[in-house]
Amino acid sequence: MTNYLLKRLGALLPTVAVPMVLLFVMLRLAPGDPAAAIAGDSATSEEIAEVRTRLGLDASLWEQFLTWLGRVVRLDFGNSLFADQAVSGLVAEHALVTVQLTVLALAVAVLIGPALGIAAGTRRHGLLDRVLVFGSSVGIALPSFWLAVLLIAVFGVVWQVFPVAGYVSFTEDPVLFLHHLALPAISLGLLEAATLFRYSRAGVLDSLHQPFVTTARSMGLPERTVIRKYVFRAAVVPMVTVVGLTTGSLMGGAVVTESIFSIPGLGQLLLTAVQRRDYPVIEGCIFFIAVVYVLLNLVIDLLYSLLDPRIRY
Amino acid sequence: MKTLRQLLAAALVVSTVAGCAAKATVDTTTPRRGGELVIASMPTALDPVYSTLRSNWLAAATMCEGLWENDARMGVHNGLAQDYEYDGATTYTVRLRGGVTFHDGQPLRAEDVAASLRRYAGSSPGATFGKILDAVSAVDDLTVVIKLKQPSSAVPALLSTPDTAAYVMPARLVAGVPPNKPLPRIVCTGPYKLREFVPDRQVVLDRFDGYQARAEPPDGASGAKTAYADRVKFVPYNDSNVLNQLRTDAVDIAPSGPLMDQLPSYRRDDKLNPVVVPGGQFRLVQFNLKQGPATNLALRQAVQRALDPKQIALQSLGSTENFLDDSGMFLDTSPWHSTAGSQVYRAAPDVEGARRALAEAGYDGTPLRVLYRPSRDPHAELIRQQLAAAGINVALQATDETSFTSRRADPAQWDMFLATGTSYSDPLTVVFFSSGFPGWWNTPAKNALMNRILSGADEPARQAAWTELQELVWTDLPFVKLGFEGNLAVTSTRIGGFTPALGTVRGFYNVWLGR
Repeated sequence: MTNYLLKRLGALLPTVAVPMVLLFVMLRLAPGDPAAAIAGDSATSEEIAEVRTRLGLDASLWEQFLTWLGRVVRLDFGNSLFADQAVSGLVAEHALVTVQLTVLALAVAVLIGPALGIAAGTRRHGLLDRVLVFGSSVGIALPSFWLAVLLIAVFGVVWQVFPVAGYVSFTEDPVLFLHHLALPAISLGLLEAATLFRYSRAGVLDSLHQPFVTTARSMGLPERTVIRKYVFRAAVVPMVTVVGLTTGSLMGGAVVTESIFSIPGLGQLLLTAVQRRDYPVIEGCIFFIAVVYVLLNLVIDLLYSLLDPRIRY
Repeated sequence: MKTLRQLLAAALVVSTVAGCAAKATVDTTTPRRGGELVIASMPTALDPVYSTLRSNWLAAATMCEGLWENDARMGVHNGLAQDYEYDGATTYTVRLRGGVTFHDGQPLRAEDVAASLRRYAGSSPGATFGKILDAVSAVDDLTVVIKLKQPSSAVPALLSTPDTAAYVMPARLVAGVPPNKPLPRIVCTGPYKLREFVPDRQVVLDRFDGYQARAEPPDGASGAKTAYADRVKFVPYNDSNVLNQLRTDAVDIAPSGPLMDQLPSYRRDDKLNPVVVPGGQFRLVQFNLKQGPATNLALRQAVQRALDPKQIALQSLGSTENFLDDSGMFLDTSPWHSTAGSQVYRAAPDVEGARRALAEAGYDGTPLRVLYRPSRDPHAELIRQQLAAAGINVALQATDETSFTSRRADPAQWDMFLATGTSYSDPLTVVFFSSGFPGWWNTPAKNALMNRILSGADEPARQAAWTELQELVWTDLPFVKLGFEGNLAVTSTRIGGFTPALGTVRGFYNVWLGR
C-alpha cells in the first residue's frame, strides 16, 4: 500500500508538469497579450509596447520559459499582472469559494441521485422508475447555464426567494452564505444528480441479479436488509468513481455557474484571467486544478480498497 | 399535488402583486440620505493613472476630484481650483479652495496637486499634458504654478475630470510612485472614501463626512456633490444576469451592459428605469494608414461613400429614435461642434460614387481585413454587406477584447477596425487624433493643426484650428465617423437623481435611494 501510494505521488509530477509546460507555450502563442488589456482601449501602440517591455513579454519565448521554470519549480507563480497580488493568495482565496460551492453542489447531487437511483432500481418498470428515468434523461440533457437561468427566473425574480447573484462569505454570515449559494449549488448539483441516478440505478439492477443477492434472499433475509446490506453496498463501489469524476466536473461546471451568478470563485478568476491574458493567474489556476484532479483520483482509488475487500494494492 | 399547485400559484400571485405594490410606492423625487447604492461594475484596479481602461475609473470618479471638472455636457468648470490665471503664454497660476481635506483628514495643499500632476504627466492617460508640461510647483500652501514648454490654453480641458484621470491625491501617497505601478490605496478629497477593495469581489466606499462641496448647483461632475447614500458598493456582474439583479434590487445601477436595441422592452418593464444619454457615443470605422490598401485615399473614399450611417444605426440601436445624423466629432451642445466637411458625410450612401472611387483607386478585389468585436459591433455584417454592394470585398475578423487591442497595434494584421467613440471635452482628448493610436494618422497637415489646437493661447485661435481639423477629418478620411447614438444605463426603480451625463465615466454622488 505504501509503495503504491509513493508510486502514485511520484507520478503526480509528470502528470502536472506536462500540461503546465503545454499551457505555457499555448498561452504565449495564442493571440492577444496582457499588455493590451492593461493599457486599455484607448492605448497607443507605443503605450502597449511599453507595458510589454515592463512585463518582460518582449523577451524571447525561451528566455520567458526559463524565467518561468525557475519560479514554478519553487511553486512561485509570481503576481497577477492586474491585481498586483500574489497568485498563490488569489488562487487560494478563490479556490475556497469554489470548494464551498462544489461541496454544496455535491451534497445536492449525492443526496438526491443515489437515493432516487435505488428507489427506481428496486421498482424497475414501475411508474416511479419511468418518471425518474425520464427526469434523469432531461437532467443529463440540460445545460447547466440554462437550468441556472430558469432557477434565477423562478426563484430569484418572480418569487424572490433566493438572490439572483452575489456571494457572502461563511465567516461573514453563515445564513446569507447558504442563501446566496443555494441556487448555484442546486443548478450545478441537480444535473450531476441525474448522472448519479443513472449509475446507481444501473448498479442496483446489476447487483439484484448477482448470486450473493440470490443467496441472501434464499437465507430468508428481509428484502430491506438485502437491499441495504448487499445490493446497495455492491452498487456503491462504481459510484465512488462517478462521484470522484462528478467532483471534477462540478469544479469545471463552476466556471459557467460562477460567471452567471457573479460568484468570485476559481472559475470566475480563471475566466477573467483568460479574458485579460493574465498568464500567471491562468497558470496558477490550472496548476491547482491539475493537482486537485490527480489527488482526487488517488483518493478514489484508495477508497476502493476500503469499500471492496477484494481490491488490494 | 393539486393543493401544492394551488399554493405555488397563490404564492406567485401574492409575491407579484406585493412586488408591484412595493415599486409603486417608492418615492424617488425627493432626495434622501441613507442606504447602500450598488453599482454593477467591478474595477480591476482603483488607480486611474495606471490604465486608460475607463471601466477602472468609475470608483475613482466617485472618490476623487481634480482641479477642473466636466459638467453633464462635457463643459469645463473649476473643481478643486478656486480660480486660475493664464498669462497667455506658458504659465498658469491656480489658487486652490481652502478648507478642503483628504479622506485621511489632512488638508489639501499645493504640493499635493504638484505631485499628483507630475505623476499624471508621466502616465499614458496624461501623455498629452506631459508633452507640454515643463514644471509644476507649489508657490504657497494654496497656490500652484504650472509652467508649460509652449503656450496652450488647453490645460483646464486636459486636466478636467472625469474625462481625464488628473485626480489630486496626497503627495505622501503619490510621490515617487511611477504611474505604471498602481497605488496601494486611494486617498482623495471626494464625497466618498475607500473602505474596502477586494479584487473580483467588491469595492466599498463610505460617505466622507469631512467633504467640502462646491456651492454651485450640481451638473455632471461639476458643482455641488452630495453623498446621499451612506455607502456605494461596486460588485461584479454578468451581462446576462444584470437585469435580474436590477429587478430584484440586488443592484441599483448598471452603467453599461444593457443593450440599446432592447430599450422598448426595458421601458415596458415596471421594475427597470432605462436612462438614455442622447448622443453619448458614435460608431467609427478606422483605417490603417500605415500600410496596406487603406493607405490609398480613393479606397477610403469608396468605403465612406458605400456606408449608410442611418442603416448602421438602425442595426445597432433597433430604431433611429436615438440616432443623431451629425458629421461632427462633438455634439451640437458642445462649443467644439462644427459642421465643417459635413457635405462629404451627407453625400453618403452613394454606391455609384463608391464604385467610381474604387476604379480610381485601382482596387483589385483583395478582401479588406476588418477587425471587430462581436459583443460590441453588431453592425459588422451590415457593413460587410454595404461595402460588398459597392464592390468592396471584406474579410470580417471577429476577435475578443484583448486580442482586438493587441492585433490592431500591429499594422500588418488589419486594414480597418470598428470602434466606438465617446463624448470629449476638448479635441486634444479625442484618442483617434493621437498619432500613436492604431490607424496612425500622422500627416504634416494634421500634426500642424493639432499643434495649433494644443498651443493656441486663446480659445478663438484653437476653435479656428479645430474647424480646419474637422474639415480635414472628412477630406483626408483617417476614419469614417458615423452619426451619434444614445448610450444606455439602467437603474432600478428605487433610484433617484441619476440624470444623463455625457462621457464614459461618472461618479455616483447626487444619487439617492427612494423611500
